[in-house]
Amino acid sequence: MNLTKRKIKKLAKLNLIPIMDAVFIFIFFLLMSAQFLEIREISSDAPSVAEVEVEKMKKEPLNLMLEISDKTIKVKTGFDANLKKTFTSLEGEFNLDAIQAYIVSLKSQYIEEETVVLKPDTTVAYEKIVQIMDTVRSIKYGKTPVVGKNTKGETIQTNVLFDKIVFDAVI
Amino acid sequence: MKPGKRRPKKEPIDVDITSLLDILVIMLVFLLKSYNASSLNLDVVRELELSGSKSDILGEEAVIVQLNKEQKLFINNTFLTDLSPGKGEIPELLTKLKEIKDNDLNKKEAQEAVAIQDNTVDPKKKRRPINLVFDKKTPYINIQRIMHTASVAGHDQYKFIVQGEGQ
Repeated sequence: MNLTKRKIKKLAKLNLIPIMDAVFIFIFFLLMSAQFLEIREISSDAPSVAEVEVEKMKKEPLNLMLEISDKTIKVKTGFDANLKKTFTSLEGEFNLDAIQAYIVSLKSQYIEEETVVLKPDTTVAYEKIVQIMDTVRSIKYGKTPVVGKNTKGETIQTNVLFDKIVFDAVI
Repeated sequence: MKPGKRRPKKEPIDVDITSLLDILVIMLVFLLKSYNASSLNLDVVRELELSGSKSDILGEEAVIVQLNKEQKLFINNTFLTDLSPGKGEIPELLTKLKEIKDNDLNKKEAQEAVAIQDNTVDPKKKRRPINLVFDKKTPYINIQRIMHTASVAGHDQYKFIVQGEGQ
């Protein structure tokens, strides 16, 4: 039997100093740029006026307008702002799913339209306006996209509804 | 020291930094998650509760107008005026916005001016955004007045700042 002593190998030590330095610098950089409140934006353009020759148009534009009050939302379309549908609030809350379903049906008919005009009453709270803007801007995450045909007859599929929001009578 | 006696050689102390490294890695992951790529640096004023939204668009740097619960108006975090009930434009805000616009001759603007002169940028397409931060209970009349004043001062793009609710 070989009785020679086995040498105990010492574990090689890793030099962690450079990586520690890098991690420290990284942490300070991230601490400076961290935002613990999720800040997002909703864009809206100031209304502008443009001349359009109605006779040349093959199809009358949608001209979607939402008149918002504390109790009702009136959906109007066309050059003459014809009332298409009225949504009534229940205990101060609107059924946003029903509103979106109606907006989706309009979008499928006018797939290329992107603009919606909002006309809130003077007393409507900002929170309500933001909720309505969210409803008309895009389809809820996970829901089926809108499908429609454009003027060239091509089928278009999109999750975006009317994301160009304009407020009436701002100027 | 007695002659002939050598001081025993001290071995370097072995500090176990495994736990420290664990903390650093956790911190790194947490901070990476809250990393913000937006150029907007917003300090929300007192008595202002942001409205929640499903929007996922990051904010951009521009003039910031804030209106809190008490209807106090702030511009770039400086108190401007108490918004009194009424209609039409807000004179204090209009003056301040025009002042900012006139003083806003920074490098970027100068570069854009050169680009416009060189016909590489269409001056009509140049937008002047304004960040609007309102308390969620603010009535629309006050929002309308601020938007109208901003429009008169030459801002044609309103950016409503909201609190993201995630997807």
